[in-house]
Amino acid sequence: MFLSINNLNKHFGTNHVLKNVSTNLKKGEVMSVIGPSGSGKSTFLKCINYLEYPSSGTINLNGEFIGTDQNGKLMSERIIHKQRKKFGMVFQNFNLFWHMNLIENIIEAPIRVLKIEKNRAIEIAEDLLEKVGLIDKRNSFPKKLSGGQQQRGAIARALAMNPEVMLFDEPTSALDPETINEVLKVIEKLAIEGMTMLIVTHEINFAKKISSRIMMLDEGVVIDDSYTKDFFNSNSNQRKYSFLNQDL
Amino acid sequence: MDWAFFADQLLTPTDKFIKAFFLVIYMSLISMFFGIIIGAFFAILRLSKNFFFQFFSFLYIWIFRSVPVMVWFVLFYTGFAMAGIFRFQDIEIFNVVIRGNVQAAIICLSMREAAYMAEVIRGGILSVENGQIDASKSLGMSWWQSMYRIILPQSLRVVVPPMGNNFNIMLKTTALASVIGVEELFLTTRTISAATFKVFEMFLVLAIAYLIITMGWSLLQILMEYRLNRHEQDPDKNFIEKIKENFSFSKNIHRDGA
Repeated sequence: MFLSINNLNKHFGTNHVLKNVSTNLKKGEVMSVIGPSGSGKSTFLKCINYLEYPSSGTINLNGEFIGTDQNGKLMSERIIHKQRKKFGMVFQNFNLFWHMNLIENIIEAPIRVLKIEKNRAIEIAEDLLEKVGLIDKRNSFPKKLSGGQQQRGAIARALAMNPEVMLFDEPTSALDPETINEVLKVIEKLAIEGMTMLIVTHEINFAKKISSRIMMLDEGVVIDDSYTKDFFNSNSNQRKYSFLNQDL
Repeated sequence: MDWAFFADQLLTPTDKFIKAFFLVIYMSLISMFFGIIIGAFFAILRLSKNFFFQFFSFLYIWIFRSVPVMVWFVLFYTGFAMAGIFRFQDIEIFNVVIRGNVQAAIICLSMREAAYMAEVIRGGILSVENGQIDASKSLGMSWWQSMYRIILPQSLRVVVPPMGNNFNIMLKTTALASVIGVEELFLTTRTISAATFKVFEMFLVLAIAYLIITMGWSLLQILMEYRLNRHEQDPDKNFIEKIKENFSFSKNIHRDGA
């Protein structure tokens, strides 16, 4: 398996947010994570790249354990910092660095972290901006961009690190309906190119359309984790049934 | 009131006065420089997870904010020498002689400034959104890289206005160094006025000298804030228009979250 997550648990104080979450992804698979608010979807995503440290459980990416060794012993912060770049992350609120313009945002980490030469980093960044359709906004500051443009810029920034897996944390939740599509199109493009992705989303129709797998979380428990067509065809689970039918 | 004397002293100040004028400026600049660096260090310590570091920083800030800087001057310069702990000697750097008492004054001013700046910078760091920090981490940046490239630059927007305040205060606090015989503006003015009995005229000149220094600083601060607001400016506007925009308060009050 390309990405395997085993018995992930997360506690915030006495609050048990993730309860033995496990899943496996093949390379190039796209998994959508759905569920009601507070079900632990975002926490689950943040635990994968250790923005939140899981309380227990292991994560293995392409044979390499992330954050802990195979026995669950925590690695040093330095190693965790280095491992994070294997995962590209896109946030609900875009989180572009507001004191830098778009191109500076994208080349920052490749230059500092990957030690790529500046000219080369700019070339890569321009290609990515072309891909997300923002090349004309190259020198704009985030504040001067619309939400959809910022989010596409944030996707380009994550891609510039050449990640092995992309994590999307509700990428369209802060957008107005008209700009949601331009972001979804970019994500779809990535799916077609074979990027392995985990997408936390409320857009059930979009999830249905692009993901090969869907996982549903409720109160930190995996309610269902199956291939997309099976997910929507079986109504065995009462909780899933009620969630889908109020949402659709 | 001897207007002729006043005009004479204002327009053609003595060499001693000019020297004192620049002494105030360079003492303040050096002290501010070290104050910011040491202050940033203590701000970071105060925000660390380690209790010992936090406590050490707290202790430093408490001590240096509590004791008047005039007391530090005497303690460091006169006190240390009398107790045989350390005697500040005149040193020469790039053909400029820096007197022992000036060194002591710079050290005291820096240490005090660091305590105030630590709190200002801490406030600045706390003002940076968590999302920005998460983003920098998710890109694989190390603690130091995200501090140096993201957190500290973003905190400047909050840090610069109170820092300007502090520097303005610093320029005037140098007057207290007269207590250990530093020949800055205050002491020099006292000396001249004592010799000529023109107290009112001389101190009026002194007041104007301080006005000039702080005005220079205020202009510099406007330029700094202009540069920091780069991300909000319309690139098509010219420099003067941008400065004007930056100067108006309405824009800043109505600013939404970054």
